[in-house]
Amino acid sequence: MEVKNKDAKMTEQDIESTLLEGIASIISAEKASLAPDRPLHELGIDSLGFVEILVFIEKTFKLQLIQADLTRKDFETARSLSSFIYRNL
Amino acid sequence: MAFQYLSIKNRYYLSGFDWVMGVMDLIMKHTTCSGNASQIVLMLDAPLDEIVVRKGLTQFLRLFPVIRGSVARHYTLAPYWRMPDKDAASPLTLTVTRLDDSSSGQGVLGPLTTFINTPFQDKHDHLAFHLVYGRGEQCLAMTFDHRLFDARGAELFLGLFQQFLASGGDAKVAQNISLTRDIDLRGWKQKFLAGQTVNRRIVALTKDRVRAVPLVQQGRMPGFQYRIINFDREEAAGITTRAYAEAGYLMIMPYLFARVAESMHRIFEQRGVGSGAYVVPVSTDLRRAKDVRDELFFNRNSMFFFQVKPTDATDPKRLIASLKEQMYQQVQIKFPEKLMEASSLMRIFPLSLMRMAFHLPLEGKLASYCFSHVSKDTFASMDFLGARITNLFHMPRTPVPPGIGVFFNSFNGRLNATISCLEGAFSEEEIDAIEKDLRCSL
Repeated sequence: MEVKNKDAKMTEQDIESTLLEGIASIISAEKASLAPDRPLHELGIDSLGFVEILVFIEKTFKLQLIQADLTRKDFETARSLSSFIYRNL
Repeated sequence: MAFQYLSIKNRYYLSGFDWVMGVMDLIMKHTTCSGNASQIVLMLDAPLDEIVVRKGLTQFLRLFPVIRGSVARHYTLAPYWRMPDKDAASPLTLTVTRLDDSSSGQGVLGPLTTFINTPFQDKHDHLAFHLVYGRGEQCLAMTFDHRLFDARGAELFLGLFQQFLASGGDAKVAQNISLTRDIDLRGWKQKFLAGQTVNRRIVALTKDRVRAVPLVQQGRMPGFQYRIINFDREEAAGITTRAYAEAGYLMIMPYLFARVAESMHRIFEQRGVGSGAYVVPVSTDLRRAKDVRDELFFNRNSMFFFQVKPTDATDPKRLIASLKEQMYQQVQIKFPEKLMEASSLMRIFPLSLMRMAFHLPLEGKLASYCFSHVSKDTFASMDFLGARITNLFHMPRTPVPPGIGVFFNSFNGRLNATISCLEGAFSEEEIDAIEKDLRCSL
């Protein structure tokens, strides 16, 4: 896993908000309609949509995750994913 | 200032990818018994009333003159789909087949294979429906020309028909369906740059020789043979769990692809198909509209191109990692969108010229096999005219070359794998082996 941007000062809430914006844009939904605790597969996100989210994360947070373990625990919801990004920034 | 021609009534300007589907259609009409078509099958727990279906279809199809369209050229050479007037009657093709004890042991798959291998009657004919009444199983099938719909669009269309019947024939279901598209004769620089990206990827993929099974010319135009592998909800849930464990959360597509790649590699090796790597086109849906009716007709698909090295095909962990990495890289450079953009440059060329051009660069070895995974249930209803839909699967005619493909779709928690193979390309034993492999390895 490539970890960059060590000086980033974003809070976990900022990350979650930015991530939800990215997910909303990828699935053509309103950000307000996305619950951060809802599993991504329940939002109709498939392999391709998930990879698009990972590309968004790399562009926005400079974290490359495609070869990470992508465990369900860390990646299932926008909230758990934000927490994972926060820990690895 | 660039000129802008807007779509007008009765005219839908084709995208580059629509044009590519037209080339595929022509190639397949020259090399197989029919064109580039596919079929959706709804398996039902009770037989449908033929009279109700026939009446409903007659009324429903009348709402869509687009389904009787044909290809024409604008004076700028941009190809378009010319639609007849609204009042033009849409002749209905509905066949009814009753299987008895003397029918072949294939059940409904026998007649379904015949339907998909039957060419449409003329250049305005793009759709046919079939009712099959078997012993203990029955189905409704829709055969469609791929120039008119992609797989998801066809599911949506069948879903609209279901809604039309459920509403007692309310024509409102056909309202606000978008049937216009800009002629797209600008942004040339962007299109050429997209072409450059696509070219680079294709060159990189074909540095190694492309492994492909030689397609033997027979005396007659061959059809396609099929195997449908059904996984029930429990089995499909198990596959999802294993995919998450081996490939990662939501990585079902790379997981399924890897299992297919391993099985194909075994067959190619047994056949002694030469050196080089596998090149596998994988179709992907580019729909973005919130209202699916805006993107119902024509093609909204594009492609990823994957390379599978034989050394990776025997190492599951490395294979999955490679497929994920390639998918990521292609999403990153927006390869499918660029392929779509670049393909619009090809619209100027006649289909016959394109047919030859498709064979030139790689001596006809364009790909090793096809793969796709339609993960989203587009057909939303669980019943049809009072009968419960027990399953929904697709039977595509795989583009030739390569003439062999494995296509996955999901329906109501179930997973289906369709093996579609040009007659003569693989033997029965080889198809049996792929089926067995997938049943065991997934």
